[in-house]
Amino acid sequence: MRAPDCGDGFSCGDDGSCVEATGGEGDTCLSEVQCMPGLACMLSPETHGVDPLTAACTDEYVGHIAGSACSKDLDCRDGTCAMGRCIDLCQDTRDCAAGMVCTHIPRVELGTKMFAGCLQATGTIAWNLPITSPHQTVPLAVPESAQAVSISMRVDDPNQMVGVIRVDGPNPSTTEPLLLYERGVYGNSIRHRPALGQSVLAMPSTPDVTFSAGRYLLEVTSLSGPNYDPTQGDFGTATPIATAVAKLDQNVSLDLHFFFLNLDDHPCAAAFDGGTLDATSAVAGSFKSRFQNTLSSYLAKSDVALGSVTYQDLKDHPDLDGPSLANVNDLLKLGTYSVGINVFFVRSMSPAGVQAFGPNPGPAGLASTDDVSLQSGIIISLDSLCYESWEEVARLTTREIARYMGLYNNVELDGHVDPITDSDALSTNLMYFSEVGGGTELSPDQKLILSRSPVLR
Amino acid sequence: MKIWPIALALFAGSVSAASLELPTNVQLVLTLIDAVPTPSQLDLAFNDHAGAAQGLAAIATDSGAIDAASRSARLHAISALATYCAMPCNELDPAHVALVSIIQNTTAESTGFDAIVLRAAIEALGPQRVGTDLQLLVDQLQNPSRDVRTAVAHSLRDLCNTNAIAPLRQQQQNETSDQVKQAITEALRVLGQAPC
Repeated sequence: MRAPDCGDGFSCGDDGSCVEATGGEGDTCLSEVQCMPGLACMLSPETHGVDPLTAACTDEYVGHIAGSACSKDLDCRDGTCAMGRCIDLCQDTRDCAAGMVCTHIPRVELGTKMFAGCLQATGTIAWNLPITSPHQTVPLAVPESAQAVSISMRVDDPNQMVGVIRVDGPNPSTTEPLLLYERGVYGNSIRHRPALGQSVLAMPSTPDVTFSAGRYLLEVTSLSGPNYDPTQGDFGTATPIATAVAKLDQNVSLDLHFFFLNLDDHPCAAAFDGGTLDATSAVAGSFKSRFQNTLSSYLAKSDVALGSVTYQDLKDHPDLDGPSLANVNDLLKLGTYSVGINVFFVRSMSPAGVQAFGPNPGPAGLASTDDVSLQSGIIISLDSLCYESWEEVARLTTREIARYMGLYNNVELDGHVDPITDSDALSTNLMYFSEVGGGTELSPDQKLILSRSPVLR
Repeated sequence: MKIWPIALALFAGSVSAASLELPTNVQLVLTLIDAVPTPSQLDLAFNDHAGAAQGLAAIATDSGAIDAASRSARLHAISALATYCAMPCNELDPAHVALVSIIQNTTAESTGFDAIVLRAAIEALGPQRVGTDLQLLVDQLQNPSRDVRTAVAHSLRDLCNTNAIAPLRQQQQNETSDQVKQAITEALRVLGQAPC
């Protein structure tokens, strides 16, 4: 039994009984259930130097109910808009509707203060960041219940770069930024670099740094090209579009959506059952028994459970049957699923030798049809089957999935090592950059980062 | 910032790669999974640019590569040769000679790994822009593999020789694969705007 089951103006007592609220207009309150019908417990616009924020029973606005999309407080009947949702104030999860939890949420408009509000208990929540210029610092609310947050950014001009060049954390006593562009990609506790057209910042990048709730400040910018230096003020002209996605639970189930380009008459068809591989034949045979089951076992070894799998043909895109690295975005634009990861199986990739491609990290929780996302998915080249086994292709696919979910190469060709401190630089690691070694291992902290990815449900 | 010498972290010596014994750094740079080795990475692995050109040509033409990693290295080496013939590329340059040799030796292939090798060599040949390669490429428009024919269309586009327009148009009339037709259309569009 939850308070909303009792109706407006009632709380739910310890014994499950409905208790009529007594809070009149102007009375201070901590929860929506303390205010009489027609009144809402609204945050004061002033902080009064206290924490949590003070609130009072106030006439409801003409607006949306809790949980509805909003862009400002006035959009909500109860007068509080946070993370793009109308939020009811609460003291206890019992004050919130079924499926919701009472958690602390930053009131980013008023600095670093937090309030207790009802938020969905599971899944992910996505909201747009209010960016109106090519270079802007925006607040990001990270609720207490968030396991991780992913910020996906894009600009309409594919020749411009976009990304975050500074992140300040929620702890006001710590002035050291969590990310500073000039420190380089390996010098920050959050691993991120601006990229052409689209980029993703995923927090946390490593469990070594405590990921805490609160208001983060992100300096988001476009850059006119790869050779422009934001530290010299070389900002771009395109206004970034950014969406935040927060994972609110500890579920570790990964949905995969398999898309098959036209694989007829494939040079490696000897690896296909009966020489054919498409959405129909993939549900059985070698694809299922050797690829999918192996993939599932590698994921399980990484503490991720394979969830639902869908199969779909993409036969009417002949120009994308064998994409080059220059036009992979055209294919990834067809990634229509926002939950899980879209996986595209193509005939080949150019230049030859490239066996897979995917954004690192990927826009978790967003489909290509969402406003911000361009590259929603990973691409697997099946001409590898002329010299690799299905099991090895499954390993490469697992690695690409892990990159999409926020892991990086454990070591780079130039010797740089991933900042996750308990991961090694060995070729036995799944995230090894080369196929030499055939690694399938992940360190405990690498697994922890995977388990927090917003692609999981 | 930590930098670990890869050779120390992984292997102490060289790695066997079929008929060629590849130094560890070469093996690693040519077995990237989801990236293309840059010329600077290759030059570093082979000690210098000249060494890279020579080494890549040797690996690319090594048909004795049998295990998966060696075959992957061979494909990367073939692809890399596209940029290892100094412009204007001389047809006797080792990077060019290697690609022509591969095409001639695999010309009848339409399935299996050799067909992938053929496709890789065809793709790498066009960007070298040696005019005399036109007929070698045009002949492959008759290859039974639509992947090879698609690669030919891309390569003729990159070759940027307007003499390719006629055979491409003819192939467009007879072509049954939509994938190849799309590639030919794209090639004709680029060639129609020559100089590329």
